[in-house]
Amino acid sequence: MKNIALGRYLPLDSFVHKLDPRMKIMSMLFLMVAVFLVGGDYPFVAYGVLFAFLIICTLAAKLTIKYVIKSMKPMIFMMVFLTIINIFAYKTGTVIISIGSFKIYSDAIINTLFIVFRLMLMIMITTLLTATTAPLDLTLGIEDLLSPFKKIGVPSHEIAMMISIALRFIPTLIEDTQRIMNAQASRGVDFEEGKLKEKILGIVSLIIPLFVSAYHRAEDLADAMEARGYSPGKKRTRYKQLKVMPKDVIALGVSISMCFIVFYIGRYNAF
Amino acid sequence: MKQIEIKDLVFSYDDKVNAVDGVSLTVNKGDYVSIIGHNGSGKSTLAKLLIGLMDAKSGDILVNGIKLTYKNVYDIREKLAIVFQNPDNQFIGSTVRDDIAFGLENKNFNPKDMDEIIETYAKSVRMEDYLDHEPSKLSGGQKQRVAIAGVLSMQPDVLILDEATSMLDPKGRKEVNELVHELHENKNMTILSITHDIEEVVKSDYVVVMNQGKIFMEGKPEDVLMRVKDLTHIGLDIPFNVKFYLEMKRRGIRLSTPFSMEGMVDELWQLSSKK
Amino acid sequence: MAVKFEKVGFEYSPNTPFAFEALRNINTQIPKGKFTAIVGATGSGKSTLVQHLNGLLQPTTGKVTVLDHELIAGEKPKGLKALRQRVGLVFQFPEMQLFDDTIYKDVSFGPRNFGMNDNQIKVNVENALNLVGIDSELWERSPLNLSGGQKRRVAIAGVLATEPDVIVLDEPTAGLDPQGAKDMMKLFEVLNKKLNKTIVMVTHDMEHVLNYAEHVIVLDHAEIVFEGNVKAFFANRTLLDQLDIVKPMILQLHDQLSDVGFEIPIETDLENLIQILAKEVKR
Repeated sequence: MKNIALGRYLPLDSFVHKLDPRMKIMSMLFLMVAVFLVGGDYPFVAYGVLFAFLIICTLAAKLTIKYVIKSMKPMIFMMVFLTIINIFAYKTGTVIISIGSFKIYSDAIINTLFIVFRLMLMIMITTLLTATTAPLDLTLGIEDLLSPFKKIGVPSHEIAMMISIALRFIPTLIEDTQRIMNAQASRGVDFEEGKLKEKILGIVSLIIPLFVSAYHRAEDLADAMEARGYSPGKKRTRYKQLKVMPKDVIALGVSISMCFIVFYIGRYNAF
Repeated sequence: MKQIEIKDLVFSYDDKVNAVDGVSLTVNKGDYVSIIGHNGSGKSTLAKLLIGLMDAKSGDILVNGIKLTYKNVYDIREKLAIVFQNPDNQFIGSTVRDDIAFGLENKNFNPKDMDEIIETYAKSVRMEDYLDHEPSKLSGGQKQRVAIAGVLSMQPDVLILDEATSMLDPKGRKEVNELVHELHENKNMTILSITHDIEEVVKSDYVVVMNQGKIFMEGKPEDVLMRVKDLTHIGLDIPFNVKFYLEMKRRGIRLSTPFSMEGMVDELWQLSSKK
Repeated sequence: MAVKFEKVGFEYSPNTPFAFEALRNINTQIPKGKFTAIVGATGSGKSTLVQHLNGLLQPTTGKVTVLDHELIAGEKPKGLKALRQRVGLVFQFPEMQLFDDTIYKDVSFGPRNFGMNDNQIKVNVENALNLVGIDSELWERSPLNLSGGQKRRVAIAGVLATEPDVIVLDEPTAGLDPQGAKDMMKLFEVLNKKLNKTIVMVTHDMEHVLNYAEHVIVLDHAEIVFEGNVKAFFANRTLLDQLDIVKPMILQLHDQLSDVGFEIPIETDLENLIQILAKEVKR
């Protein structure tokens, strides 16, 4: 669990960490748009600019390049898979490699690179967001960004409440899981070895009690929340307030500009 | 002054058996009332009915003279605070601070005022050094104290404890019981404590014994806890001191303070040294 | 001896920044056929200690010998399944482990995992359910629809059905009402006195220690600070004060009686104590 880099928060002290989560989420969205705006005659120059920009951001966030590469590890399998599919799908352009009657065309390579670069950039952007923003701050950011949509029926506050309660209970449910595993192991369940049928029964003996326990916790929690005056839909204030600082606006501005820069590079022979 | 009045309350979970079967009770302002009874006797159900978490089949509940209805249930909940049994399942916030803030948010307090209120109430339960701790890093006793801080910040008239110490170790139980007694003495808070701890009952002002959904006995601890035959008949504990007192009486030695071990021991010494 | 701990240490997450030493230099034994209580503050290492008894944890240093199984630090443990059949472990709030369609099936889960044949399973399951006092009318019902106390008894039956020689209980009466707690302790007394099971009970309840245990092991901050018989344990005032342990009521009474001047032997039975005391007073 501790080795998964993608999605994890690293409590460091950097410029990016201190930015307003709403600005970071919006910046991330604009940067993703930028990734998909790459096109025209010099797409690879655009990709290069984006990579360079993200590397600067990564370093500004006090993350290491090594860490970012680690976060791409889960995608390696997919990238290889895509490469293989593309090699068989694209048979246009000039021939790059030829082994007997088996030929790999240039369009296949270019297309693969497009997809791989896009994936890598998306991962870098997402990692940048999740590594520099605590889950609860992300939740606050999401709540605020969704609140204009309340008018069309999006329950932004309730969604945020659900996320923060889920986050609060993760350690508790992990403890429950461990406890149930111990109890069932003591009754002879082997969670590591054994025939498929035994393994399935073992997992059932873990999942059902976990669900039952989680359900009881939820029932109790609902009572406690109601007793303390909570009612979904009822107006309430929020203890944690977010404040936009000039640096946040600048950061967002920079991300939006990246969209324009990337759009024009490659399309209008800027270089 | 009558703080809570319960009149002929009836409730059933399954329409077959009444979990609360015609209960009538009056609680006066400033009283410390203990409610005891075997598991399933209706104690917790009664507590949940009091704060309107469930609707009674029939009967009335009056708080400060006002009848509880679905319309005013939120107002009534401001006056009656409850702390439940499981320390984890009522800890809503991600940290102590956030959890105490939860109640304040529900009441639309101004966020600017919240920090001060949170610190005040955390101090009142001696958790001011733990404000940024997560619940997974706290003991059961600490979590229950935070729960008390959380509901106190609403400034209720009554504090209901639904077996709030039964899942705690002796240290946690002591912490919570001391805190509750402090609140009763210093803030004159009305306390309704559902408990299994017979020694706690001895210290309360009034005892209500429930059995199978009905009130079996009620009265001052000195009176109720002496009715040993009745208590054992329905499977309840008797305070150690009372057992001692009655055994002595059986052997012809009459002592005068059945609830004070110190008093009885002194008396015995007096009796023996007179010879 | 049922269990022997030799220079045992246990560290959670060793070699990481989260490393935590839960047990240090544990040298102790648990006598066979007796009722041993394990006492200590929350976090002192009690749960870690008992999880070594059925091999859920292996020591990071030293050696644990349970019946004739050896758990040696650094070596891969063998025969854990067989060990877990002979040492039954009942965790705190054991009702959390219930999951099967019927009570009967849930209780047969353990025996089935340990490879017992159908006949043996039938006999064991029915014996266990009768022992814990669950009426046969209920056996085909779902275990999840019972009262808290009943659920707990079904969970315990699930452990007893594998016929362990050693039964380890982690705060078995936590959260029960006084009658429920009394019934539960009577069950363990039967298991110990009539069926000769070795009982190891982690507990905070000093009344239970006095009334049911014969041997006591005390843990404080990962180390053993006392082991001996129950009488010696309660006689050790310094230890009890150091650990903030409240004596059982009858011993508190005895202390008060000696303090005023009575010279009465220590009694664990209230009636006996009163008989002696009454004689003293009437003299």
